[in-house]
Amino acid sequence: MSKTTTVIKREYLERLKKKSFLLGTLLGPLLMAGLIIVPGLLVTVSTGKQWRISVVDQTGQIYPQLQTALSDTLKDGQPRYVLEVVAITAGQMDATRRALSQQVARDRISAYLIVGPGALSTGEADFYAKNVGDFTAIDRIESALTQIVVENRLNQEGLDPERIKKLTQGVRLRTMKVGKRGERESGFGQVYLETMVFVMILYMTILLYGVAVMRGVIEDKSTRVVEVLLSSMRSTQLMAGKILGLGGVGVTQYLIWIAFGLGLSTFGAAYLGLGQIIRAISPSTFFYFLLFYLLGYFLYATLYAGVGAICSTEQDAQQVQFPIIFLLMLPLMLSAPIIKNPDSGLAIVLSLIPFFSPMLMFLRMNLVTPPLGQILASIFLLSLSIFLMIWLVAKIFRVGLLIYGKRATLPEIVRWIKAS
Amino acid sequence: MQALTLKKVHKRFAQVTAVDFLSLQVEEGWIYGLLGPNGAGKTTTIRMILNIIQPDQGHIFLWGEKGAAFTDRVGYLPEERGLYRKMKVLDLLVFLASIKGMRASQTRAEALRWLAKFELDAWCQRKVEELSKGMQQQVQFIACVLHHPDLVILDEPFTGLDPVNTSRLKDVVLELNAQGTTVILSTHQMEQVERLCSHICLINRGQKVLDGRLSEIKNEYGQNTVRLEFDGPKTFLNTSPLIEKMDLYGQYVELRLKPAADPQELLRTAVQRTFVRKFEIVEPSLNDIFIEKVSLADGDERPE
Repeated sequence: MSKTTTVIKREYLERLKKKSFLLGTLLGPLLMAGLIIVPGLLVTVSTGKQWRISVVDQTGQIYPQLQTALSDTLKDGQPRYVLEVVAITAGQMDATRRALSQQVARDRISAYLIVGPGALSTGEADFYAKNVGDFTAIDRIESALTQIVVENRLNQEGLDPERIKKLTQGVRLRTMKVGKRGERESGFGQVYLETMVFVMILYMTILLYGVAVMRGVIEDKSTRVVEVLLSSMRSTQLMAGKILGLGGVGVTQYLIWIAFGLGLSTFGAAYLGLGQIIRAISPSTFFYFLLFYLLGYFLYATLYAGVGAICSTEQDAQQVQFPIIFLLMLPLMLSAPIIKNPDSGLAIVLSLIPFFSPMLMFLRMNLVTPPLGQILASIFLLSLSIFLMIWLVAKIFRVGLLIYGKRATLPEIVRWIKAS
Repeated sequence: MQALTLKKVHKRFAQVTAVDFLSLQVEEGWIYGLLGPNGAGKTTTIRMILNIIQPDQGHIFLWGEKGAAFTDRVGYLPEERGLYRKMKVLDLLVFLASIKGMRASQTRAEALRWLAKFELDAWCQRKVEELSKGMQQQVQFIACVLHHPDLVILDEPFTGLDPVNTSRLKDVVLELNAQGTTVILSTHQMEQVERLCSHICLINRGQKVLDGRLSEIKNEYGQNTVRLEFDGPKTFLNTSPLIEKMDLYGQYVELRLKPAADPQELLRTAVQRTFVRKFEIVEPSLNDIFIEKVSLADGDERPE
């Protein structure tokens, strides 16, 4: 058995035996899905809060209709909107508003609504509340008011609102995604969720296993095992063994997830009623998922191996690894505009930059079908930079491994690279 | 055959010359003491022998071959010990032997045999971190000899061991040597060197100061060291023209006489002034030779 294989085997088995591997394999995707879905749910599901709203109706016509329109109930059957009409005498508008604002401040009421005298013709109304961030509630009130005002105007013109509604019935556009396996119904929300779960897993695993490589190298240095290792093998063999061994652990984890995912795709729809979410994921997605994980891992793990070699403690490494984490996080931060517009020039360029392409090209492939040329180009550029990075880091690695106790400075690193 | 040959090996780190054109030979079957004060370049030399770092100039041959061809035939116990703390003892030994090219299946039984020899066999399924420091050190020693190396390089193998373990380790080293293993021993414990080494090399500031068979080196230093045990005033020692250097110990004094001085004359003086209980002409200790050589060399450099 070659020396590199021996190191691979040790790294692989020691990691696999750890409880953290089992835990990560089981909880990883759940956590990821949770991270993505929960905030989504929080936004879409309206908060279960009752709105107590005072209404100043200067038209004298809108309030009764509004009360009928806003008859939504909360989950426990209580009305969501409790309206109360407040009378004013003209000229005392400011005083009334002040009084109502005080009531809002004291939480007697959650909001108040002032419907101006010309509301029926101009559509003017003001909404005052402590929290104006609850879009669902505010949209609801706005659309209720709109409907009332529009119906009033139509009535005045002698038209039948019901008929008008029928005649102006709009188009409800259903969005379907065209993929290799045919069309399927899919909306922005679903694509967003699915893609982000994958991208987050890519991000987390590349980071996790990259850091594991770095920790392993630092452990070798701090325990001085590295002396014995280097007396038995070349530093490049050690580096390769560490990266490949931990990469293997990552691949194992991915294969477990993919097997699970494919299992769900095949049987989940029938037995668990998860068809809507699961059926959408095709085997080729899983293939590229694994491929981009591997490529991304190799690039970042090599960088992390270099960080391990120039640092002596994890505290040192915390600072040095910051630029790498930044490179990894950038694609996440850029994912929102790219999901919106996956074929824009910006998206194409970013997805070809090797440090971003593992996540961004995969992300684009999930949303549209980029030209094969672009996919191959990103894979090519990524592979090329992996080789360059290995070549560069190997030089730093050889010298850095034997420097204990202090962190190498940039000029020193440059000298090491030049020297070898 | 020469197990190890260094030819004018030179190594610089940034501003410091670590090894300064060092040449030495180690024949098969020797126990070779590589001595020198802290920072003399011993560890750098050892690292170059093991091909961990490369010399800037000069050549290193293991059994006549350059480069890494035979590093698998070398066992290395580094001064700064370290093992994978989370690994089980037996797994770790098998791993360390297999990176030296041994098959796992062969190594297991062999490792258990060695562990039994050090009375550590009960610990073979424990994690390294559960072992005491002394035990870990013995495990590391086993790791260094498990793959049947022909040359073993031991850097301070005895530090941190209790007398029982020290003695056992010394026996094991002698046993390996009797079986034909060449040993290079780097240590500051001169008694161990005197007990074990047939040949020594003393280096200081990267240069060789002294090299050769231990008995010959001692002979060269002559028969002019006297150990004297007496009751009475010590003052005469300070005034005697015969004495070049003296070391006071609790129970006795050790005296180095001037080259032409006659020990008998010293004895006569001593008898006149004090009650002599013991008078012995002894070999100079390696400790003295070490101190003298190193301070001499440093003295040479000082005027610069």
